[in-house]
Amino acid sequence: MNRNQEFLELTREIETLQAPGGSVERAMAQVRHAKRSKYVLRPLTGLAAVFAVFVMLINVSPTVAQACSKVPILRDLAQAVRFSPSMNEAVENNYYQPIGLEQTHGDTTVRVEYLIVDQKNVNVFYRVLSAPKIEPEDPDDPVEHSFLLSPEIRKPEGADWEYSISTRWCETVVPGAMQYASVQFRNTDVPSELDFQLSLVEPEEPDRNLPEVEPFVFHLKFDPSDTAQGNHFEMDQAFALDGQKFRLTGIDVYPTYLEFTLESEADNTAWLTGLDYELVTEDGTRYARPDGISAVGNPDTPEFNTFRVDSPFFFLPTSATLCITEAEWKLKAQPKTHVDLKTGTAENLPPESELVQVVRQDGAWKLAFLVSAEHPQCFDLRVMNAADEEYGTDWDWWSIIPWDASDTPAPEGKIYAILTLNDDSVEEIWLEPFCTGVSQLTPPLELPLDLR
Amino acid sequence: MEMNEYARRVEDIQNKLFQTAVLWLGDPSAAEEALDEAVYRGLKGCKRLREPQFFNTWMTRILMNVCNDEQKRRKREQSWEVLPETAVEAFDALPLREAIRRLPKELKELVILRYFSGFSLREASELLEIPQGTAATRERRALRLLRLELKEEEQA
Repeated sequence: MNRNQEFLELTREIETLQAPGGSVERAMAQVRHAKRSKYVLRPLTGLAAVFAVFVMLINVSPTVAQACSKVPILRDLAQAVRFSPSMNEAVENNYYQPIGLEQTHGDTTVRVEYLIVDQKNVNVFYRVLSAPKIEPEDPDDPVEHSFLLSPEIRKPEGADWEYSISTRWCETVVPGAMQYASVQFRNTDVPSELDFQLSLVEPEEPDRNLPEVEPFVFHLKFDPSDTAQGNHFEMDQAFALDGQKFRLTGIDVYPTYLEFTLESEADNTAWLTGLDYELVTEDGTRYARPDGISAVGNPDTPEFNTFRVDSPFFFLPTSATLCITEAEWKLKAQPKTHVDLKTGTAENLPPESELVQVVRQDGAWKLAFLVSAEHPQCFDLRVMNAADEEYGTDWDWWSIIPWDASDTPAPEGKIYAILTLNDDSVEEIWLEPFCTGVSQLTPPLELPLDLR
Repeated sequence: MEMNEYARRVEDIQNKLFQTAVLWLGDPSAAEEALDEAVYRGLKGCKRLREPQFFNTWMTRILMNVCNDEQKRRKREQSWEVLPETAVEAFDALPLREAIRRLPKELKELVILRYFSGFSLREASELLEIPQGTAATRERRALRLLRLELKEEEQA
């Protein structure tokens, strides 16, 4: 079939797609709910304060929970987790806790609906039921601007928790929609209690004085003995990736993800900064990298040593194969890249990268780097001054230089990494190279895993 | 524009918007979320739309902003998806739908608007706020890359 025939077939296929329906009704319901909430939910503030110290039982029976009139039906949770095979299996196996905690500050009401908790993760599902409106500066601006959501946990004094937080979909407030944040603990298990905080913050643009909304803090208490413990498997497999030596030391399987840990040899000449892989179980089922955090490293080095895939927890096989197809590296000896913005020159660029243009526009510096298209993130996203303090920046990737009127595309195998620095008083910057080399593994490196 | 009229007009074009989002994001569930978000944003802003004859363009622009936001979010979490314009062999090896999804942003916008969303070159250039000549140049580049020979009447 030639491309034109493929086009006709694709147009026929696309034209059969029907919008799922209900978008307008949902949008109108959200608007009406936002208006109604101002008049109905405020009187419940006293009750909300009581619920704020509600103590939850892990793995409460859904039938009991659904008897509570404030708990939404399970369909909303199933909808929210459909993007994640691990979370989907968790819900299908009744591994979730309905909560129903609600708080109101001024015009804003937030409700924590569900938790999916295991030994290492707390996944919090919540809704913003109402939020203040942001009036646009430009009356003709067709795009509504919303607050952004910033989830955080309040670490108690003296706690040495190391954790990451990731969110799903846009971080903008979407009143009524089920949104979620995942808190992943690294050096400790999930604590017996924690304060989960949701703040509404101003969007990046426009930059104006917006009404401040007091953060919402939900005190969550868990009984760790009722939280599913992960399965740990000791491993001791030595292997090499393109001359760099590693040892697979352990596998941990949780309901929400599977994690494998690598130890690198001290005399390796490069840090492992990325890995492409999948897990294949004995029945041929493939598990890919999950959404959100998929690798964790030691903050003292650029190396990642713990990697994640979606979890076969609920149907744990006795054996599986870890298939590694690609590795990304940063040479240990690679110095930082220095860019002199006034002269438009750079020193110590990583391999296969070039600084092509530096321009000053609208109070900002804009830099165009020509980089490998296959691995375009050759720099860490942070941009620093001589004292290692970070600047606020924005990175984007184009096949042309967006301010160059010639519209000339990048050469074969290349792409433009565009850096915008919103302060044209800066004279020089330092960038940390992220990837200085890539190894394609053909055939893939296969590590057999015994999970008995 | 009043909300009831907005609702009626969205119902008329929501299939086309959904199809656009599927082509853009490659995934019907993500497209469904993008459509919901765009319809909600449009509803909140519909009173400010003074020229109803530009409703389709206006809603499509909102949808594209939502799709772009989602792609930016994905960039922080997933490996890179876009192929450079010069990766001719890589594009040839892909099914057309995937090849479109992996076009550089400025070419993908043109292809989807012109050949799947039903906009003329002039309408697409106004929606994207680029000169019509630039739109024509990008369209030629995109069609060459996708190995498509299409005339005006063959657009979807």
